[in-house]
Amino acid sequence: MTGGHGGTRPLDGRTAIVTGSGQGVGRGIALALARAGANVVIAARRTETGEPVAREIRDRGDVAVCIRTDVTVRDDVAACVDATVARFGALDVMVHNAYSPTGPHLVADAGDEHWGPNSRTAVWGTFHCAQVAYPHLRRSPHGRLVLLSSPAGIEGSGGLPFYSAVKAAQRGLAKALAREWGPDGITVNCIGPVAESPALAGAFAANPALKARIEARTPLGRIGDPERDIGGVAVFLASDAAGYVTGQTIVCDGGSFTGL
Amino acid sequence: MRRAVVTGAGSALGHACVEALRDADGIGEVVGVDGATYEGDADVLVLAAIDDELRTYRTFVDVDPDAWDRLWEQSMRAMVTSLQAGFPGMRDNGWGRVVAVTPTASMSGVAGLASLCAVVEAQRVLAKSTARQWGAHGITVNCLAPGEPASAGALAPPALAGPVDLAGVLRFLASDASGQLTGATLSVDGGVWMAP
Repeated sequence: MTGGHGGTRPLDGRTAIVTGSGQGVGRGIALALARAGANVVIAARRTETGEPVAREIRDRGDVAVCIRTDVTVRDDVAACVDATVARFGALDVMVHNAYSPTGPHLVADAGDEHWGPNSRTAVWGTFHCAQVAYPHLRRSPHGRLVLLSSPAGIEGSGGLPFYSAVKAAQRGLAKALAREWGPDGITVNCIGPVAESPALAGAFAANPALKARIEARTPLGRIGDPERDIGGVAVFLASDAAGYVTGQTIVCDGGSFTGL
Repeated sequence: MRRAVVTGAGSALGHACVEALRDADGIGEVVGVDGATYEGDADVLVLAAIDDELRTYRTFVDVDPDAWDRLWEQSMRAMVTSLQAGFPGMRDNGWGRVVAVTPTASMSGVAGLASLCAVVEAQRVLAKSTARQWGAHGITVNCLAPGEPASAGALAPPALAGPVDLAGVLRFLASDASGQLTGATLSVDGGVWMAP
């Protein structure tokens, strides 16, 4: 069974790292990539959350290991990539999903408690993952960098300005790297998801009307499922089917945002 | 008469913004500052500070991590500092115009300018979020996107002949006439980058 143009396991023989995959969208992407045949490294900040996901994947007959990684620490990212390549012989797909949610804030008076977590995980984290993964992605015949952005990073959120800004930074970086790494055969894309996650569940618990409001304005009438809805797009971007797609943001939010 | 403040006034872009506003109707005083902070209130706040290092072409994998951290943090904190300084006066007057200068490079992506693309795109979307939060106070927040630095030869040739002058668009964004426009990005690059 070779990877390539589809079939049920288009990522057979490929190796992917997914950061922040202990829960939510990251977990969904990891499950989907593994189901599609990839060796998946669960790069979670805590083994308590990452190990169960790796085990869940293995119980399904797919391949996964958990490597504890704090994406804001350069040495952690380097160690994770080194261990991945040592274990599986290559790194083909780097998915940077990890983020540190903060509550709503106002530009007029927000301080470091809202800026710091957003900046460190989304921007510094992307920087480290991209730089450290590059030599391996370049060596791969199908190197992929996938960043988890957000519709908020395109249209600006009225409640989460710093989150919006860092999600936008990832898109700007993705476009620049798509142009810079294109000659190396590496594609760089973003996914802009809306899907179930602990952070979203927390937001719904704090504001019960929010879920109904989101569903009401979503043409497909529901919140996304991390594995089926977001993972499916991640598999597409990682596979040969998306080999000619780069510098793009694929928004998967049930049709709510149509700004592109 | 209104007071305009331009940050990053020492650069060519910043200087052009200062000169444009000196000739603007309704603006009695234009103050140019090099950094993010300024004295007094601003009715019109133009954020034109773009660090020279951001404009320097560098292979991304050669960018020093510590240098990146400093540049990213400084650039973003400068914008937030300026915005936070400007808000109280604008809110109290029920009128304000914020213009962020955000080169089109961040929307197209330019090889060798990864740092600039990340910073400027973040600033552009921060402007949009700010627009959403400040609109109720009669404050508009828009982006003016000049075409420099450019991606050499990668995009369409300009639709308009002659040198690009941002003065007219900047004066419009600083005036009463633009009171119903907020969260927008206006490319002023001779008609090269046309947003979707």
